[in-house]
Amino acid sequence: MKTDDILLELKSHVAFLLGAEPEGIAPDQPLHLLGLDSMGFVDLLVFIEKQFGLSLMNSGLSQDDFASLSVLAERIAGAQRQ
Amino acid sequence: MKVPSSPRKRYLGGADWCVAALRHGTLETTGRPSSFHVAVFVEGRFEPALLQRRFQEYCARFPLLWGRAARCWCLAPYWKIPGDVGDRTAPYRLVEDFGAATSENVVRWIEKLANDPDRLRDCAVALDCLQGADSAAALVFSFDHLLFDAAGAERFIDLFCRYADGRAAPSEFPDPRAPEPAHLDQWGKRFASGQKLNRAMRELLPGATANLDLPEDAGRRPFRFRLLSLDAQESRRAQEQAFATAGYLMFTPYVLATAAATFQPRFARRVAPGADFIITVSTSRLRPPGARAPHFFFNDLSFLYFGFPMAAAGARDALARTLRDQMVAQVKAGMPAAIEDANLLMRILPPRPFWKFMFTFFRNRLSSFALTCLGDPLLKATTVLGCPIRTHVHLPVIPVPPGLGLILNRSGDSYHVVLSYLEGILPEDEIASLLDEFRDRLLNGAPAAQ
Repeated sequence: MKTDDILLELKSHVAFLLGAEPEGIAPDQPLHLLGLDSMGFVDLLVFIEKQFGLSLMNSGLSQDDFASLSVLAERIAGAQRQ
Repeated sequence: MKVPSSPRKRYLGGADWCVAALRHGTLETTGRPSSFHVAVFVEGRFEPALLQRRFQEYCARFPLLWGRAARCWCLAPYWKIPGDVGDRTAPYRLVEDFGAATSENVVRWIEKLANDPDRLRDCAVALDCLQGADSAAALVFSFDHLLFDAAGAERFIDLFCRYADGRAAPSEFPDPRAPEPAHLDQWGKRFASGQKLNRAMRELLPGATANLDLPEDAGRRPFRFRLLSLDAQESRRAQEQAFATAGYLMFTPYVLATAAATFQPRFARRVAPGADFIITVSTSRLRPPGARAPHFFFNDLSFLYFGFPMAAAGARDALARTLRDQMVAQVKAGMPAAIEDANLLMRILPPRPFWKFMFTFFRNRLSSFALTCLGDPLLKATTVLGCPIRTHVHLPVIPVPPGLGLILNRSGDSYHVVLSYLEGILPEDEIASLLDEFRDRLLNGAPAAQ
């Protein structure tokens, strides 16, 4: 799956979690500034696992890994290429 | 089953009915229903007549504020919406000689409101305007939890502030009369959800639950609040600690572990050794795709339940990670949706039998304490009637039992923590030290040396 397509899906899901429009989700903004809380973030992790087959729970959940949706999309695409 | 809808009838959801049952239990135990209050602190003074007029005009747009719960022939409970407001007004009180509108004085005032069983008898919202001689005032909104959750209350106040300032567009006013289905279908699925919940709770509750005894004279004891406000720097530090300890954005598990560590010695002195902590955490409900956007009425809540040996609370950082994993496991297993589904089924019971059922289901123990971490603030207005808003704080009454809980809300860059409790559940000297200790643990990981 292309990085852009992954990013689109991530934006749609975050928009759903926040009750916002996908166009209003800034892909380069840190997730906590988008308004995600613990519950929303956990839901996003579960979505990624189900949708892209990538479990991030055991990654230590460092802030750098989730710097923005763009970074996250790159990471998912990279994992899929391996 | 196809049930006719009506603009005068709004079916209550599973979370609404769960709140109704908890409210009933509190009323039965203490003689007062659980309500919640939001204090909005402002700079400046209000022109009282203008504030009152704006508030009444605003409330009159929502006749459902004067509604009541009723039961449909199809067994589903619903909110009966009056056709028009008539000459009814929402409770409004002006206190012009309040003195200084400090957080301490305002909290003492809210304790009076929380212990007044008649404050919200006819209308689901009430407003107290507290102002004295100085240039600070507070607006205290009281809400009936059956009609509002915390997020809805913030949306309601936010729109009121903009309405009062003449900045609310007509399209921003929600139409709560839009018909909602009765959700009296998919009985098999709802039964299955109930079974799933039952199994999960049995796994979570293998042993005895640590509970503090309610005072024998609970009916005569007042609800009390203690407030801890963190400044912007402290709030940032707490968030950084949470991210470093439990993982990015894992503030709720971190706060829960910190609360458990703070409560542990107080419980350990009073309950049987080996008892487990069971904690209810209320969260915003994750709405299924395609669901109607939330407006500010009714409860969009779900609950998570966390269980762990009381002794584990001593190792806070490890506990925070364990709780994070429990949170993930529950979301992955679809527990929030299962709880809502099971509660939809339980709506066939009136609040009292539902309350009794819950009590039996939890083997008469319910949770050790309750925790709520509110997400991003939805009260974004910066002024009300031209007065700058400094901050806002949530002060809910925790259902009894457990009658003990912590609520965190963020306003601007700062967190407020409220300890809500039924007097007598812990000695006042222990209550007094509890929030200081919580602050130390939240910011530093361990309480400051005595």
